[in-house]
Amino acid sequence: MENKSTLVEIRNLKQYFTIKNSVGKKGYVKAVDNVTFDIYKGETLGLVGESGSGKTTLGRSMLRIYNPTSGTVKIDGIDITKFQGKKLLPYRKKMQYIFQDPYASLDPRMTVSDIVGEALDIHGLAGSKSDRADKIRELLTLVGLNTEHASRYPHEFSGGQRQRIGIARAIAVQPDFIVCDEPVSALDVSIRAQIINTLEEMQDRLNLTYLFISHDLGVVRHTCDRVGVMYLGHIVELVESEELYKNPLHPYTKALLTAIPEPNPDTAKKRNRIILKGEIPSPVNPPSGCKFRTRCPYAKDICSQKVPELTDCGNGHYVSCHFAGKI
Amino acid sequence: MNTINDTKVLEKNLFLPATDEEKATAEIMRPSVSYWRDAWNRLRANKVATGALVVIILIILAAIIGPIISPYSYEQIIEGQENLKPSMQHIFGTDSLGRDLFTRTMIGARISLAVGVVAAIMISIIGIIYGAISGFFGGWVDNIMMRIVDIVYSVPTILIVILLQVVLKKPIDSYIKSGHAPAFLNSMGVGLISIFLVMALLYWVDMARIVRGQILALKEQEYVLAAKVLGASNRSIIFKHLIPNCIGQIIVVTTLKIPEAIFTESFLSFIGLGVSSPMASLGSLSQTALKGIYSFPYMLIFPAAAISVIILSFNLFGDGLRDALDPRMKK
Repeated sequence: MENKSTLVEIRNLKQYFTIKNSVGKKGYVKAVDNVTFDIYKGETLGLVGESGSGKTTLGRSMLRIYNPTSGTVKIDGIDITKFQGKKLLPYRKKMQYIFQDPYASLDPRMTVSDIVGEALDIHGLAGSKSDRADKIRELLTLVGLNTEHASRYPHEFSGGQRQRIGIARAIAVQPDFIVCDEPVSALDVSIRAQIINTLEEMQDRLNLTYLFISHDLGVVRHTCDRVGVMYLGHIVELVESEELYKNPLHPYTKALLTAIPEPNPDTAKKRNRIILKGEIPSPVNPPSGCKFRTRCPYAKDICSQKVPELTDCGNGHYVSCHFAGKI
Repeated sequence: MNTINDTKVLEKNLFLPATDEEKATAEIMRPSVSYWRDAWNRLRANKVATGALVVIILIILAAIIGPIISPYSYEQIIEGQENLKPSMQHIFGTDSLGRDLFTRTMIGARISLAVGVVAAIMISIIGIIYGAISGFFGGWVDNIMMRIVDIVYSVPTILIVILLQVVLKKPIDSYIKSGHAPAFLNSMGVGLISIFLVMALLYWVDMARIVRGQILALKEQEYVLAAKVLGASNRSIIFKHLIPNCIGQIIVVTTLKIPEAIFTESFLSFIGLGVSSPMASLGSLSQTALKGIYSFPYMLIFPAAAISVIILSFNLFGDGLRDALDPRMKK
């Protein structure tokens, strides 16, 4: 990270979903709550956290799949949070999404060439029919598929191949930034490495920036330059990948890191696993102050009164904890 | 004897890496076929559906060509040949006025099929678009649109059909007489026009509900989100992703609507509100035959059998078509 120019800037992003209970009383699910961070050009930013922590929602609000409740998302310095329809279209081209489930993310009624070609059509990237076919073939080869696959339907492919089709669709519009939403978690372990290698290869060739959402800390350590840890809609720690694994500062991150399976049973026995009490609280009714205090072994009075800010503890190590560095 | 230990037999040149051409021949490749070509192949493999399709085509051909090549015209009264039994001269016999029943049944099938198909297409177009918009936009749009459907649904259909027919008869009649009406309206007659109008007004609600339900389930699918991320317009999401993915349901409902429309038309003709004499539909033929059912049962058997065969074939064909159009059924 010598040359840190910001590509995506997220400020106080909130994504609330309205829910109604049986009596008709309104409530909000605070899926993403006041999230602020930057994504630098060319990096891979990992986003980890347990189920329901808002990782996917964050990725989706950034790309305007959902309309954010408040806050701003800037790409190349332009705030796209309020753009609609035609105005948003050129920015759609800059940001793409790779979905978690390669079985649900491809239209079963469309051939591979139509799935990839749709991206070209929408943004007018293919001049003629033959140009379109050439570009599709080129994209398929690029992601490691056979050009003969173009006329087949998604159900004729394996999970890994389907995910490659998803990647081809995403890079078809020549984006700058791609949100990879757990791109390998639905795949066989044997295929994961291949897909991750393909993603890394694409990044090198096309100068892509990734937001890599995952709950697999091993994969994140391998692929990401920086990692953000999410808990209940908040980013609790954001730091360079190696530093996170060596020196986690937030108690939640500490607990999370001890949960990585250890292949050596002898080391595993010696290891001090931090087991968190209870469940992740409901995002409808989150705890006051620090969201993690209900499960935090170090919680004090201040934690229930004041929301800790995400602050720099030096060297770009951001933590939101009142006792960062002291525990 | 060549044993495995006999290393001399295993020459080195047997173990050269394969060239690209050799690899290409080893690769098993299915020729790429289009979606509809594929569906057609699968439909042909289904014997029942193919049989039903053949029957439908035969009936359609008979309904179109039959009356033209028949030696008798459907309104031609042959004096002295009333109430004849089926014979070589009159395959289905003749009716009480001495008209050839075979020709009249073919004309009746023509009218009934036309009513069924045209009504089903109208119902489908209206229902699909209405249901898709309602399901896709959701929220208050959906709420209002579905309440309208509920209202239309709660109306006693047959009663409205009869009322509308009576009310519409006069304006349509004067429109035709004014001379501005296109020729096809003229030949259809008031009865048929009001049947179409009524079906277009009232019968689309089933289709709208089914399509809406499908769209509600489909619009949360990730491939729809993917299209959104790519920047696809609502219109192209609805027509390129959502509707093609409920085509199976749409076809089943449409094929069920064809016999339903034929039934409604028959019923209306039966109570004298459908096609007017001397024009015949399968319904009006059955009604006329009912008067002499004890003496001349064959007069009822032929049109009734025609109705049954048409409806059965459409049901079986629709079923086969649903399987054929679903790529996931591919073996």
